[in-house]
Amino acid sequence: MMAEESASSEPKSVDPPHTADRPAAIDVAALVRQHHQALYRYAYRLTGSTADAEDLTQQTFLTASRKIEQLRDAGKARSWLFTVLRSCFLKAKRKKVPIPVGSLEFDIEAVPRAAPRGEEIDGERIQAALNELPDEFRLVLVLYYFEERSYKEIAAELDVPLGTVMSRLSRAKSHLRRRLAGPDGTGKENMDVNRPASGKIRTKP
Amino acid sequence: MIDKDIQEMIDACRPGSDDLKMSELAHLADSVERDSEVRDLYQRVQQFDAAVAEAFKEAPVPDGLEEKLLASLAWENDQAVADPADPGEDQAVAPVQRKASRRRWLWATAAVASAAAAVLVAAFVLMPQADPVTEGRFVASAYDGFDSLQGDQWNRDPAAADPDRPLSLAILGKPRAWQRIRTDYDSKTVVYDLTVGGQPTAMLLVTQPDVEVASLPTAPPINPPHTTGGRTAGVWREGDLVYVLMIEGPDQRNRYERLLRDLPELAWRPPRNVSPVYGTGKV
Repeated sequence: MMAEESASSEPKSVDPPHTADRPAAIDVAALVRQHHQALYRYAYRLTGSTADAEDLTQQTFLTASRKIEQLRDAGKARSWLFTVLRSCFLKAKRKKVPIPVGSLEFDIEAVPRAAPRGEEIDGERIQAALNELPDEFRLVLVLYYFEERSYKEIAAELDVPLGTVMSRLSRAKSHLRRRLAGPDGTGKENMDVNRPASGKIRTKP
Repeated sequence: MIDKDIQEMIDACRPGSDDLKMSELAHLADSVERDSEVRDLYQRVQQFDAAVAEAFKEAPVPDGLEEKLLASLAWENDQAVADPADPGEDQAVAPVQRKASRRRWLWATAAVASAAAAVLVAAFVLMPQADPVTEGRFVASAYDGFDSLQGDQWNRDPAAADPDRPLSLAILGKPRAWQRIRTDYDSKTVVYDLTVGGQPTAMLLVTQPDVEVASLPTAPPINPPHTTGGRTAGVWREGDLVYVLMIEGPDQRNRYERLLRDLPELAWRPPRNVSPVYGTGKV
């Protein structure tokens, strides 16, 4: 039995394989200087308020400083920090936002005929639309737009099925398009509100 | 008319990427090639997404944020250093400083009072939303803990292990060493290394979590429910302690079971102050 084996095999040293190779110490202060702006913007898109975003950014760096040994490759610091931030965000147990009925269905008429430029899109309007979404939809959008992750990577990151990610992504983007296409939206002149009937979406029963 | 599946695939493609070449999106690629309506929609969504992505990453950053973050890091480091490190040294230095730094002391008191008030407010705000942690999330946190183990931090003296976080009597095996780590739910978590010479890793994580963990069994599960990332793990509760037994490497299930089964007598026991709950363990 194992007890006998362990009694007869006193180890010379204890060094589990996954802790054997540690990189040189990474300076968390340097990470703050280099990444705090991106982290704050990421947090702002997730939380929707400057105060919450500041708190979340701070919590992220404090958590990072405690777990810095997990960062084995300094070149992946940004991505790792985003992961820590998402984890902190999810642990904060945010209030559940009810899914707005009917607002997450695809509406082809909300897709602009001509693309607006990035600077033409109102960042606050984006945020207002994000704030209306439940966390799981907002997370998918942030991973897609901010981190530029593929839908497969998002599925792996959030540990949800591919089909769920595709559905959430499409519905959340539809919501975003609709909100940005409203009366005060950037793409007002670009919206094709007179799309032919053939542009209607067909949903499966 | 555009199918909903096609629409979802279009929305899954990142702007400016070659996602369309993914084998899973071959149907979309074919439709874009053949159907002008799909092609038109695909291009419009791509252009719109590119503009949104650009705007998405822009948000004004508050002035002084970097300094605040650095200050909070420094404050936490100071706390960690000043914690219980060497009271004798404090006593030697304190009388000299006390007279000269009354103002600093007042500031420190105010800061501590503010921090305490903030903690109380935060606790008040968060309390109604404090749902139990799921088993899956707890295991993920435990895995983070295993990953944070330091090869040079193992203590090979079993008698020095934390009596408040002892080895479970439900586990067969003699620890080679133990290590204290910080996890999300317990800053004094202990990990015991149960690895038998020549075998791949076997670890037991012991926590006294500061949150409720939902629906845990009161004994090690015979069929460990967590088998991901090249690891097998079982989680259970004994009194106010939660245990995670984790096995790595080949033949994980058999090795997991061998650590639980037919235990005649533990070769090693927790050194002192053993909680009464362990008297009811599976021995």
